[in-house]
Amino acid sequence: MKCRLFGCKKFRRLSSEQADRTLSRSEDRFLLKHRSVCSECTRAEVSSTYALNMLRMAALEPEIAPMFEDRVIRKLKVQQVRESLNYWSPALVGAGIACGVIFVTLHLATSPGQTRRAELPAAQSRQDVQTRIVPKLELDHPPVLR
Amino acid sequence: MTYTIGAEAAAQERQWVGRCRSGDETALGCLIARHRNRLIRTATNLLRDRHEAEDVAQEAFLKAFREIAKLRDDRAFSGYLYRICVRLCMDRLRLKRAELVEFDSAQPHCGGHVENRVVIEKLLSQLPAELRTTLVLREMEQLSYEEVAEVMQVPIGTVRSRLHTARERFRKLWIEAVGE
Repeated sequence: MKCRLFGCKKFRRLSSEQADRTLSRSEDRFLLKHRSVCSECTRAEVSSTYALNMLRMAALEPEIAPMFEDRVIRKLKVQQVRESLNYWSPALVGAGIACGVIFVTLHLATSPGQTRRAELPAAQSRQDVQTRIVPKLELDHPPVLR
Repeated sequence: MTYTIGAEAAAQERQWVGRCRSGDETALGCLIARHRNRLIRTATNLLRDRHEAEDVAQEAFLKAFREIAKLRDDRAFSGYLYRICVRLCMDRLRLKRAELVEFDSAQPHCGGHVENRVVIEKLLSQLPAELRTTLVLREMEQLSYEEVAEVMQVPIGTVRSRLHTARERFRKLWIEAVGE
């Protein structure tokens, strides 16, 4: 629908604005005058009013689910926990890795070393020496010299 | 219907916001109870989907509470929350593809409420997110130009021109859909 008469654009603008503000006298007069000469704009105005009324009538009323507040608060708590986990997780992972490394290092430094020492030839010889029969010196019963 | 609240309610709200910062759950509940209806109604009218509207309202609350520590002025909470909600709705509207629906011109002109509602939903879905939001906030939510401008964070002149364009486009779509 094209505006053919002079002032149709202004009419459409004022017609839209009259729903939101009080028009001045001159603006009112302009609308009246234009309505009497432009049937196309008058029809457009009527259809616009009708369409907008329909739009207002189509407004929906909200349906609020029960326990809405509780759900929001619960979600907020979950979110806070998740955020704090996200914040601390790199530090926790780092600490875990460090602990693991220290544990493994200590383990390697202690237990395998003992085994190896025991398996050394010198250690074996020491063991042999220990098992050798040592002559006893029986001081409690000194030999009687005749 | 406006989204501004009275002085007494504003003072009470300021207290609740302060208590929320220190993690008071009762204050959180009070703030949610105060704003949920308005938020869900606006989201419902913008998105035309009750379930999606509830999701958006929840998301808006979560976002607002997460950022509550950064809020400089406690009095601004109400507007801040509403702005988040409208913004989230607009994001969703932008994501949705405008469905091109061909209307039968022989469709009854003065059908029942439900038919009109369906037609209007289809017409609204053909409007760009900015125009649709402006139109709904003004016509359905009855917000003033200033309030629409504040919520959408645009100048009043932009609201005025968008509203004019939206009304004109809506009228044309209406005529195409149901005939004059």
